[in-house]
Amino acid sequence: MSVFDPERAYGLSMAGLQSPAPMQGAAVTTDANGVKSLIDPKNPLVWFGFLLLATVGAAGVAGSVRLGPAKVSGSVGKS
Amino acid sequence: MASKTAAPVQFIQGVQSPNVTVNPDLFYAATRRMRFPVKSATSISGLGSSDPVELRKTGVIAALVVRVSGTVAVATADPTAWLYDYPYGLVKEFRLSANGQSNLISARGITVRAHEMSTNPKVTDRSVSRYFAGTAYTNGTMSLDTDVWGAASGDPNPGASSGAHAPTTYSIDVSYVIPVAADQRTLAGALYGQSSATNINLEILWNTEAALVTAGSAALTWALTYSVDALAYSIPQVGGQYVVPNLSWFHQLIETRQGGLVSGDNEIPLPGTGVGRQLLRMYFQTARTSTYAGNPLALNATNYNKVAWMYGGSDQPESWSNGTKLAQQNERETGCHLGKLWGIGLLDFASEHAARDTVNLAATSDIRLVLGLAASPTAGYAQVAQEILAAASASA
Repeated sequence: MSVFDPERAYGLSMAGLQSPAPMQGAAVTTDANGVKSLIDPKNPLVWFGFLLLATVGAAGVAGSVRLGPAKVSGSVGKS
Repeated sequence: MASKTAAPVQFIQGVQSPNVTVNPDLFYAATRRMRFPVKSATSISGLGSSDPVELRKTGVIAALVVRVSGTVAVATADPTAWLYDYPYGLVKEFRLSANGQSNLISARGITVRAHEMSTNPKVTDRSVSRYFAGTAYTNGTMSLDTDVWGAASGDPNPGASSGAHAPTTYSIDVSYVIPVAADQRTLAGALYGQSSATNINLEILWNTEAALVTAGSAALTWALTYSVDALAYSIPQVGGQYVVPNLSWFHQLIETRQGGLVSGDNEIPLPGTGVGRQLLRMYFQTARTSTYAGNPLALNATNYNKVAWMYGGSDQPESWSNGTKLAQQNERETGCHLGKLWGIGLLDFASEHAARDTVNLAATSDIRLVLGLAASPTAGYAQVAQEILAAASASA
């Protein structure tokens, strides 16, 4: 919106026509604590993840867990 | 035969207009500022009467400048008193209506002057010497140097007592800027004038002689003229399309009067609030019958022990514990000591950061001004003006 627009200059908005009475806002959750940060390229952990995938992709990861009679196994990369 | 296709038609501020594009950036780049006379100097129809002026249908109208000038001849010595409606109150009320919106401006001359002093930082009354109640002041008179009134001892001046007015002819010159738009930058509230369907009228109501002066045995002869000039902006054509700024809002300066003031807190409700209205400023002036009728109550700690605004049950976002604190803040905000002589107080929500501070009247039910008076003013009343931006669909 243009800086010359009165709705910006005076805080007007047609949406404000239906706005409820102001109330105390809830605590704000920032992106740094949210799920979005897990896929944010600015997050160094993302790049660490890529590095880890590349590493284990070459070496491969395999493992299994036995819980009584059942056995669960899985692998990542070449094995 | 191919049928003709009618040009698309739309409505702006309730009037039919050719198809236009709302694009503030493009408008400001291409428009031309225009200043033209709407009414050349004409004798007023008489004190106590009124003069209607219809505006020319052109452009986007942002402001009107009204000049009142002339003389008052005092035939014999000693009119009893000059009252506080002199000189700004020569205009008892400006009424501006447009396309059925009857109440865009409805305010006294002194309120229009106070609005100019508080919204245009370049306008100042500092070092302009004027007499007020018989004493010379260089601050707080709200007078411009180009005004002509009360410059010398003995000239008619507000609240001046008898004995100082020789039988002579005095000159008067007072000008007013009527704020059609809330400001000249965004043109919020400017009027769309470029339509044959547009009908914009300014009515000037003149005060009575009895409100201006207690003549006593002196015969007064008034010879006053008025003129009106408009400040407007052309509607440019860019790429075959007419371009206008955002004209979705009307600017209103509405004044009401509240009597029955008592000692203690007086809660004065603002009329006409509701959805689609944003409060920019509130002005108030309390007057009482002390020495002369209409004597303004100076804004200070002696007279006011509280000023505040409230809404809802008892929500009170801002309060000042006495009048002096508000007067000090007003002087900082406006560069003018509004409350010193004229007793005008201002609650300004728009000058510092309008997007943050202006009050949405849809969310502040029963909004009211609180005047805490130290004493009950004799036959006192408060004039309260509210300046708002109203959605074109919501104003009336």
